[in-house]
Amino acid sequence: MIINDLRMAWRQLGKGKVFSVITILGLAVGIATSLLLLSWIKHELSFDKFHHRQKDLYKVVTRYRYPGGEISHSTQTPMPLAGYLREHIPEVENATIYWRRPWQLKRGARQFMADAILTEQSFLDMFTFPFVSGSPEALLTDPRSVAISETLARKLFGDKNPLGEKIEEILYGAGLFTVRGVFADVPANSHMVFDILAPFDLGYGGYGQEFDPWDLSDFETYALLRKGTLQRDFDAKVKGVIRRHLPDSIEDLYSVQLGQIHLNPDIWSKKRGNITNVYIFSTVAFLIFLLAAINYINLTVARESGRRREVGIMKVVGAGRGSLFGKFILESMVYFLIATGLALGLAALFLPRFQQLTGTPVSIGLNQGVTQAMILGILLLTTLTAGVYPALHLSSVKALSMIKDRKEKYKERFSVRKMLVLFQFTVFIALIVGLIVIYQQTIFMIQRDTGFNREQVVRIQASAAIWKDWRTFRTELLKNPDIRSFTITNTIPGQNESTTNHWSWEGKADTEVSQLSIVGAYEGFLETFGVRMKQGRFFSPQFPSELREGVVINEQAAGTMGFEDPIGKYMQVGNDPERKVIGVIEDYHFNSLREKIGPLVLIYGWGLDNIFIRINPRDVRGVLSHVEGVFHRLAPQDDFVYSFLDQEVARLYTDEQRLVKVLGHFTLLAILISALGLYGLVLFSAARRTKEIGIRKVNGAGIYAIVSLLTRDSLRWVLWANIIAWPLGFWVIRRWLQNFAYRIDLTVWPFLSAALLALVLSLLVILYQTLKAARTNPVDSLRYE
Amino acid sequence: MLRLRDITKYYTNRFVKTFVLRRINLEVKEGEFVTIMGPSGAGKSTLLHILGMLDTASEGEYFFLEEPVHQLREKQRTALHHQNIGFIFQQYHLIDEMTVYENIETPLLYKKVKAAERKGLVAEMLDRFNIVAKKKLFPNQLSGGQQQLTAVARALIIRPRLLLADEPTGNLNSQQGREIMELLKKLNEEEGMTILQVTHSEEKAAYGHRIIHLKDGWIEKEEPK
Repeated sequence: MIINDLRMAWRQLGKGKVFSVITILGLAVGIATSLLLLSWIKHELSFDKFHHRQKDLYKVVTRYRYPGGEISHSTQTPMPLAGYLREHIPEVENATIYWRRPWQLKRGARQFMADAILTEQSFLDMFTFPFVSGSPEALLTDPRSVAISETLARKLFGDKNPLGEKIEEILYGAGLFTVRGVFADVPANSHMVFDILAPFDLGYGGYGQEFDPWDLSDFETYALLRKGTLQRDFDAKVKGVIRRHLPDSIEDLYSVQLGQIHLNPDIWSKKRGNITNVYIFSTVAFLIFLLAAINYINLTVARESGRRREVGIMKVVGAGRGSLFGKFILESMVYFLIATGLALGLAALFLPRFQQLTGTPVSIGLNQGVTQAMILGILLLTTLTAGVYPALHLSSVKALSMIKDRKEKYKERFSVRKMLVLFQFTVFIALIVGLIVIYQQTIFMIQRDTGFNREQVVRIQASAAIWKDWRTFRTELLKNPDIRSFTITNTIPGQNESTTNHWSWEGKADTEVSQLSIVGAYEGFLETFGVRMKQGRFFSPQFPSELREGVVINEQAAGTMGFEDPIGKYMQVGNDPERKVIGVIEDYHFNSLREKIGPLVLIYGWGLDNIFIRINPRDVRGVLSHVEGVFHRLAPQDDFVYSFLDQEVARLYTDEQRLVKVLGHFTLLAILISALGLYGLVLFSAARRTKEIGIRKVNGAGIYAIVSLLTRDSLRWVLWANIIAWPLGFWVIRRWLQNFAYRIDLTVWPFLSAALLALVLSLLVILYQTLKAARTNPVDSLRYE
Repeated sequence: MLRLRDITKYYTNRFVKTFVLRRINLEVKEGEFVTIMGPSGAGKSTLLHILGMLDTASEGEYFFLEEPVHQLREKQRTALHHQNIGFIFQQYHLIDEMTVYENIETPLLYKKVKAAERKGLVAEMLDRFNIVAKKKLFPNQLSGGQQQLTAVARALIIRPRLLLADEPTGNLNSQQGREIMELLKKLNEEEGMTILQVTHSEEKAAYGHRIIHLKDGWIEKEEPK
């Protein structure tokens, strides 16, 4: 029986070729899309799950509660916290400090930058980072031992056995270390990313020992809780730990389960995941899948009229409803199986492109249980959503209907089908609205005036050799008339990360706490970035004492501190000497446009990471080769790394640009699927109405009348879809826009454009088929009736 | 074998009743060959459908093998039909996607007959109707006569006690039509198959033992009485 049904299904496949191609293609695209997006979601959700004890591992993080009620989060915790947790909180089985530092390694004549983690032996006991050679045993208890990643080992030592080799750190002057272990490269789904594991020592990170350790809070902390400990019990105990040592602190501690760090929007981690994107992509995957399923339903039911005779005969010769239902489900399964096979091929084909789009090393991994379950799930879901309805419908045909009036059930069936088309167009329009708005916002952020001039500014990555001799570097560069100005800062405008709340100033209330951002700046800052002074003056070598004792603040900072005339006011950070405000600059976006411009303090000579020059765009290549020449004369062993500031600013919005790209691609697919479905529907409706068209033509209807007859109906549904999609799209996209402190105004244009696009596209699809139907000679269409 | 009492069929369309059959009384005995004749719209096909349990009467009683069909639930009715009644149609109604062999085999599949037995039964039918050579062909590769032969074979494979034929020769040329009629006659005479046929043609009507004339839903006359 089943074999027989399968054989029939196969012949059915060959019979309606157009139908088969449209449905299978639509389904395959839908399934491939879902598969890719699900793989991506799987990857995003898999973060940090590879540690044996991942369920009991937590990151301890800080919550700042400002007196104004504002709350912010940070991963930075005090230095002694890990030790305190181990000793004083019984629920803690183990804890470790984690300090990420960029190390500059020297090996012979060559130098390398690498991410080092300064941590304790407990780190190796808590986390699962397998070693390929050497042993993690007591590795970090020796102050001069390190473990390095396989990739770094290959880079440093080639094929030589790295164990026992020495490496030297020169950026902080940490000195010589012996490689005692090589660990497998950190997996792509780890929120911790590093190449070197080194023993913790303040000196290796470039710090002196003069602070109260509880005041030093550049460090991250992880805790391993005893099995069965409830997170809230631990949180309750850890909450007030900082205040026990610093009574004035506004910092609470709490914990985040390891597996939830990656997608937690409050927690900073190097490879920031984005739960919003996970939601967006899941929704899009589901919608596209649904579109494809709906296509199948629509087309199958549309074709039903041609198959009623078959069902009738089957019933006359003895088929029951159940066996017919089984037959049609089986038939659908054959389609779905072929579509799934094709989808796997498509997914494999587009995987590299998808990886590039998402910037994630997503894999489909057919041999993994998860993937197999996923494919099986998709197949099952397809059968449920797309297979059952048509099968129910077809198997319920009355035996007599093959001989009798065939139109008996059109009315009811049509409404279901139109609802489905309506849904397709609603999705389609909403997707386009979303895409347009996200695109607009991205462009807006990239192009908006940020208060600094980013054109024709080149960033040069400073190395230790350049640090030592930056004055010579500057003098040499400025000899070139095409280099107009030169400055150094610790950050890249738009990417500031340093903030502190240890500031105090004249007239500051004791209870008042305010977070101020700090940027280190040198002379040439104003000229290079085109930032304007509002009051007073900038750092200048003509006033050497101001370089040491002065600060420049922005307008926001003046407001925050409540200075009516800020010039000459005194402020101070921690126990440092007091500094005098010498100038106020106009606000510029030192952070991305997701955040509001906050108070900013500029300090002279603080951090030397980035050199910026403003150049004459006349001969960019010539200028760059000049810079490179000077750079290599001063630092022959270092890599010359440069970038353009406008690109750096655009890079801030990688997430959004990526979203636009991914969404763009998938919207295109949604359009393709909907168009295929619409084409199929029109095809059938024209075929079904052949006789009507013939009769109308015999009675004098022209092509225009026929076309308008066939299109009017479909277009009405497109308009209805707009009415549903607009408020829906508006609501969703407004919520998305609220992620941004600076955002575009929602106008009616994205909505109108989406409507127009849907209209034009459906007209194109409909017209082609309709014109063909309208042009048929009526004699041909009437002959066979 | 079957008995109709006051069978009436009408359709209600916006409060207007359209009568197709009015108070039909009819009895058919085992082994009879009955012809139903009448102009278009007389209700011949509807009567046949009711007899074949594809349709139900609006009023009246129908006994088939002494079972009160008008009181049966749909499932029981369908079972009764599938066990006892074979159908052939003017348009043959073969399934286009199936070969001759598969078309004939289909009813056995639904009766869950075992594969080996099916093979034997189908082979026997093919042999009997001289279509062994065509068994792998699809309906559209056959002449009308061959298609109708296949349809007859399909109807007979379940060994029905009653064969209902709705203008079985209507689409055939006269030569093929005669052959089919001779076949039906032989079935009736040699195997005692009860046959009810609907036809327009006087010539084809003459094959029956009895002719029932329908007009506007009434039985106009029966000959010979």
